[in-house]
Amino acid sequence: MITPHDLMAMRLVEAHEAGDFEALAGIWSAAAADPDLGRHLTLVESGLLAELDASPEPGAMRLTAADVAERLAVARKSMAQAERDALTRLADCEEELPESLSMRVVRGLWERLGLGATEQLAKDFLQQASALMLRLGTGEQRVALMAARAIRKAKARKS
Amino acid sequence: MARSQSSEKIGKPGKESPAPLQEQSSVPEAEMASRRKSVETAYTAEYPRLLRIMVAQLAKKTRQNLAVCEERAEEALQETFIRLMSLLHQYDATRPAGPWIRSVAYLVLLEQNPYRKPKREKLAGDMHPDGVVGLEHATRARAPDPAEEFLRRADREDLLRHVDCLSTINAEVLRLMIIEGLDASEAAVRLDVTVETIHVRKSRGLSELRRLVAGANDPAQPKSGEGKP
Repeated sequence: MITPHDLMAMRLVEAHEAGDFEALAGIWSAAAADPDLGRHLTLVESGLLAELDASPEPGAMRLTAADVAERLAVARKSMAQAERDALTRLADCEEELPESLSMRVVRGLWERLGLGATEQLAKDFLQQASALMLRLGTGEQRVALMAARAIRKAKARKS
Repeated sequence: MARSQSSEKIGKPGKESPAPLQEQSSVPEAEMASRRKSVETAYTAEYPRLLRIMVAQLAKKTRQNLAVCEERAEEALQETFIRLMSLLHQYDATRPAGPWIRSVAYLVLLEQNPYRKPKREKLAGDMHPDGVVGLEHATRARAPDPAEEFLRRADREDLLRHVDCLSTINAEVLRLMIIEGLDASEAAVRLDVTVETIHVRKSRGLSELRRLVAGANDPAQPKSGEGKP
């Protein structure tokens, strides 16, 4: 019904998704000793690679400051008033962020928007933006981001 | 299994590459040359695939930008090649090299993480005296997972009951394969996707099923509908 190879394939997918290199090393080591398992897992890996290849390139859809601000507002539990004000300014900024984002770029954005001394927020912004950019490779994230933008635009039109 | 159970020290984790062991092994030089050639060919063929998937895994794990992840994966794969060459005496030329290359590559990637905390004490994750062979024990030594045991022993009825609780697209693959008894290629035709995709979705479906069973067996987890307004 469910074979040991199926269960190993399940572990492979779980380890791939968690980035668990120790588990991946163990799984492939077991496959090295069992050619049938090796073939089965190679098929599964091909499926995972096909998913990666089918994902749009991160550059195809550029992240905006507002995209990041929206996520940051959800992620941050408590904020000082200055940070709250900065986040509000960022949420109105649909400026596209460059593909290679660095602290220098973020500081440039801060300067342009006159966001003042909110260093921790800038650091969190960079971290959140990097995470979002990586996840842009997945179709689901892309759709979620497009939906979030649509909602923002709709709200802006309404007000 | 033709791999030798060498008691030689293969090397400590870290940036230092292990010293080549070819001279110390009892494998004839002509055989070593042949192995070197076939491992090099296999490594070359696997490289783009491994690089692609490792970059994606690193990106998910570390949340660093893609350029950094690519650099780390490239570095790990270069080190992997060095390790493979020093472990040639373990290589079983009668078997495909791909899985072996991957097991070494992931170990290298693991070792290159400066913050890693091994899950097990010196059993795996290091190039210990048994080399990568030791990892097979590590896989077997996993703590038994009751949910996985359930999946292993479940009959059609058990599975049907649980699959019906899933609502994802992966569950559809499980239904076709477990309930209707289709094989992967038949399910692929039915759903108009590739066989590889079917295998991934089946694996994800099993993973969801395992979590569902684990949740149902966990007394700390609220039963379906409990604790909801």
